[in-house]
Amino acid sequence: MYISVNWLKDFVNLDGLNIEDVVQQFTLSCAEVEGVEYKGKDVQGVITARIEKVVDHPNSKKLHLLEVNTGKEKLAVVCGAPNVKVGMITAFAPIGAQVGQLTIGKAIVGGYESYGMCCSAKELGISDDHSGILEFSADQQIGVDVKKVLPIDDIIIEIDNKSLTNRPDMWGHYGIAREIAAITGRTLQPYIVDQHTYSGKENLAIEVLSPSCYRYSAVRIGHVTKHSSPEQLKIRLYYCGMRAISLLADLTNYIMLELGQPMHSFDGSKIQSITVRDIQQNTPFTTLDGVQRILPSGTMVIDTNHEIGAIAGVMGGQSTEIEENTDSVFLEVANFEAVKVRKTATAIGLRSESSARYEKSLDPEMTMMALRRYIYLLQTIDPNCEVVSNICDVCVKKYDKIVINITKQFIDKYTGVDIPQERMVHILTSLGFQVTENGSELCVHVPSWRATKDISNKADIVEEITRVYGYDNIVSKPSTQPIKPLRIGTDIVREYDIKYMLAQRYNWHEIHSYIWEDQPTNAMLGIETPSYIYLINSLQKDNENIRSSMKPTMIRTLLQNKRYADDFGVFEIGHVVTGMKDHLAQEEKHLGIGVMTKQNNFAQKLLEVKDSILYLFHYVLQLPVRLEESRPTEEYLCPINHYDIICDHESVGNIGVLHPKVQQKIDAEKVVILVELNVSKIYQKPAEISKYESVSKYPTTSLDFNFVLDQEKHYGDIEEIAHKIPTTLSYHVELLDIFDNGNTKNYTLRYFVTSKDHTLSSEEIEQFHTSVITTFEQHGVYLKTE
Amino acid sequence: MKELEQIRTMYQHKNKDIHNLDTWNEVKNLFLGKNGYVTSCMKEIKNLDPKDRKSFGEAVNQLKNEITVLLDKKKVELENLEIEEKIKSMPRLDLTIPTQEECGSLHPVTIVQQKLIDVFRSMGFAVEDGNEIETEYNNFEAVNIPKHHPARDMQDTFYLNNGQLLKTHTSASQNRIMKKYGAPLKVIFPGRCFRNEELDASHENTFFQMEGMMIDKDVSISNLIYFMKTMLSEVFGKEVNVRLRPGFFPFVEPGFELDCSCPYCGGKGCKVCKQSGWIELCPCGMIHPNVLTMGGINPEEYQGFAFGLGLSRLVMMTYGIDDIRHLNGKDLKVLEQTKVK
Ligand SMILES: [Zn+2]
Repeated sequence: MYISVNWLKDFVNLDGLNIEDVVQQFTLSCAEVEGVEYKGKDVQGVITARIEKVVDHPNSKKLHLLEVNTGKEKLAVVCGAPNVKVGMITAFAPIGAQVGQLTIGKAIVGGYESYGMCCSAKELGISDDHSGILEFSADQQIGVDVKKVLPIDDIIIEIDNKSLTNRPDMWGHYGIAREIAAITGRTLQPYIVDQHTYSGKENLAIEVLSPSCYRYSAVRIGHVTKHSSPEQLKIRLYYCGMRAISLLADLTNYIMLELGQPMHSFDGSKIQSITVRDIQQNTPFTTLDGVQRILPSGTMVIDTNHEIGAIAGVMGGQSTEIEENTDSVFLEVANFEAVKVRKTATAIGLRSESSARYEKSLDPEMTMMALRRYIYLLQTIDPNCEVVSNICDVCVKKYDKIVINITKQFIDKYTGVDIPQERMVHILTSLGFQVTENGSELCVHVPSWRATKDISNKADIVEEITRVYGYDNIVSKPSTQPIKPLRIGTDIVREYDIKYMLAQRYNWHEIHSYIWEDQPTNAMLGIETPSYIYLINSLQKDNENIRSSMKPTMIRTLLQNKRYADDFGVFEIGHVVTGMKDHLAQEEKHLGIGVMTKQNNFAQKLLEVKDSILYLFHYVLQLPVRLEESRPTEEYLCPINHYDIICDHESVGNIGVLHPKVQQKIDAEKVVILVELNVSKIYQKPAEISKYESVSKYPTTSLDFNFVLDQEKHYGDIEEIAHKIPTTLSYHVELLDIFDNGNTKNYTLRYFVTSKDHTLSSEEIEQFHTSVITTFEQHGVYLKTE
Repeated sequence: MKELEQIRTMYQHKNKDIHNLDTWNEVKNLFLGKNGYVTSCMKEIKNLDPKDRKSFGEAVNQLKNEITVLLDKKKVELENLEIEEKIKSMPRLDLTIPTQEECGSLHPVTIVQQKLIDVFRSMGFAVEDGNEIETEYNNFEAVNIPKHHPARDMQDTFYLNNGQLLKTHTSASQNRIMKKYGAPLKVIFPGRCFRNEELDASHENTFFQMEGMMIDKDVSISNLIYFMKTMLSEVFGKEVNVRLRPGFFPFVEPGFELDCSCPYCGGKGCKVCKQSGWIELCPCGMIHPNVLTMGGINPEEYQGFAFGLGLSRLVMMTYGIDDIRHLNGKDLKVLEQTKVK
């Protein structure tokens, strides 16, 4: 939103203040300023002058040869404007003057010398009207700096609308002036409005049926003789980003920019009755901008003469638009429910200056203020006009008066500093709050313009006091909280250990990827992957499905980087959705690992990946783990070399290899190994703390055994048995050697056995030897027969 | 006695022939060994006339000592020679030749996040994790953004077919955490957030934030200022100043935009701070009483502050990354630059 400093000065005296300082203070206490622009800086030396002669250019239909009287001299000027005429007083830039980027010099135009330039409003930066040169009234003195005639010099402050979201009162100059008065300690001038009482005139036929119309104020004004706004008013509108149209319409915009209260001016001759209602079915309607829109059922509209004349709070229609030479205006100033306007604006995709303000929950007290301001301003500009109706004011809903009781002690506790009570009261009063004091208790009456939703509790009052007091004046202080131990629910901390290990020990690279699938790439690779939930409004087409596994992400990342190196790996701990429960997504965190290597390095790489998983469980997480061969459920994985990762009798992930049919689409010479691990699940497993075992001082005996297993079996199948020897002795076991004869596999196990309190006798050793064989035999595993 | 003189002369002669440990041993044996010359002389003593024994004995002993000293000395010389030989035969390598050290990498976000976590843990904060898919209630209602609140406008939300959404801010976890732990509370919760918008160098639809809350009986605005200043000084590794400006966030009251004096130029003005000397770093404020109430905490008894840090932005500042899209880009040529630290 743009704020004109000239305009602010109507409401608060800024004499003697540096505007830059005021802006800085405003930023620190009120709202964010996005920029400050100095208007008129690039217009220098332009004066009023009279055109004394107009001669057609001999060779050009457009150009004229003028004689321009500056009051000091008469100059020859070549001019292309179509509206030149003898006697006209215009804005003239003589040699040496500056207009925008241009410094005027003597020029040859169309073969004739020109000693200056007549200027359009656009060239002076006060309008985008470039249809002709500026025309002053005939009694305008010539030879005067145009800046003395028109308020071209101004400072425009741009305020970030987002920072005004909760401040409906700051959507106009008067509200901003109130803030500036409070932070600079100046006095806010009263808002001057019409004070007359009107009676015995026409009673307007107004009916409010919609509960979303909180207040509807209206008046009819007739005998209007002026149709164009004064230049000063036009320039203010233009500087604040609006275009002047006609006096009656411009005033509604002007007051909206003052108070933040939108208004609508219907052509007075066209309105007999008004009904505010919610429509019951979808209805087409053509708005002022000439676009036909379908209004959904439930939209609040203003019926004029029983036909839709405007969308309440959003935009008027063409049929009741102000005609160029109308002599009367029907003025509507209403207060509508914020949510209703917002819904309508969103539904029909039309956000207007008006809807933007209504959405903020405006103060219903403003309707009469705005209406009476309109009468006052119009009568000032056009003294002939006359109020021809009684003022109609239908109040449907009033907001509750808000009174907040707060103590100085509460404020001190909240701020951590001791602000004098007198200062607190002064700040609140300057912002329009009424305060009654009872000792250290403040009874704060919230003004209507802050009471629609902005201020409702004690914290809000603290904010008002502190921001004007100055956040810079709040000294920083450490808190005096007692020290307590941390509650550790810190999965993220363990995550770092996992990532660090994978990157440092295995040289893989961590990536971050999107939570949705890249469907086109999946389709290209022939990867089908289930998705339990999808986005319904994504701007990224074909990327709506939320992933259920990290593997496709890993595969795509390897594909994207396939020329990075012959042998490399990537990993990520990311979120996936693995199902639905009570309509809610079941979200888990999974570790995905993808490693790509050359075919001839496959076996070694697979063992390395396996090693990484064991290391992760045993040393990073201190959890037991084993691998169990299984069939992959994903069709894009190879049917062999697929293992479930088992922790605490439960599968928590798997290791697999990319199916050759997918592999060949990436690089047939390579092979991809994939891991998926449900880290959410393993975080819940309690870490195993290894107990201290005293070291035996007695000699250890080693015993070797040679067991035979079917080709189909894995070492994993006998590993558990190997640790279950019934004995009181201490032992551990190592796999010494594997010999594969094609039909069967021989596993050589070496047991190390000892006692903690004596040297083993040969009988004890013999007994242990027998126990090992018996235990294995009980599980159908036999010693190799020579 | 003359015999001893001969032995001495002989030794002096032999001493010159010692070139290695073998010859050293031979010579030692020859003189001091079981049947060596000196040993033989010692054996002779008992056969001598008693009056000569003393003087001869002394002379033999002296000879033995002389030879022992010379032999020891020779041995040290030999050993030194041998070590010198070893050094001479050792290969001499040029360690200034570059080598290919292999190392994986952590994502820059992980590194910066971990650094922040360390800082916060050192200040007594617990770390919480959160979901990426949230309910509308947690993301909006529970943080004081009711339906049709204009603040929902600022956030282009990704909605899912079951009515849930991808969380638009880490604040979506506030309610759950307050209900889980109650007050008092000191916690941070990093997370990935999502906005449905087009991508460019400074806009991502997936980005990282870190949010924190501190709730206790006497937490004030002045504590917030102290805490933020201390925390940011720790994060940047140098003393910084902070200032508060009003900022509107529905879940805090009062709400602030916190500016940090630019750690790169010390406030003089540079590219990072756009010549202003300040960096707008983190929205924060006193937790709104409604938010506390919805989290099951009595706002009459407890106050607290909350703050959000734009982690993605901090990462970009830390590493001088100029395009936010690199953070989700998966291009290893970019990512490998942040080697494990
Ligand atoms: Zn800087």
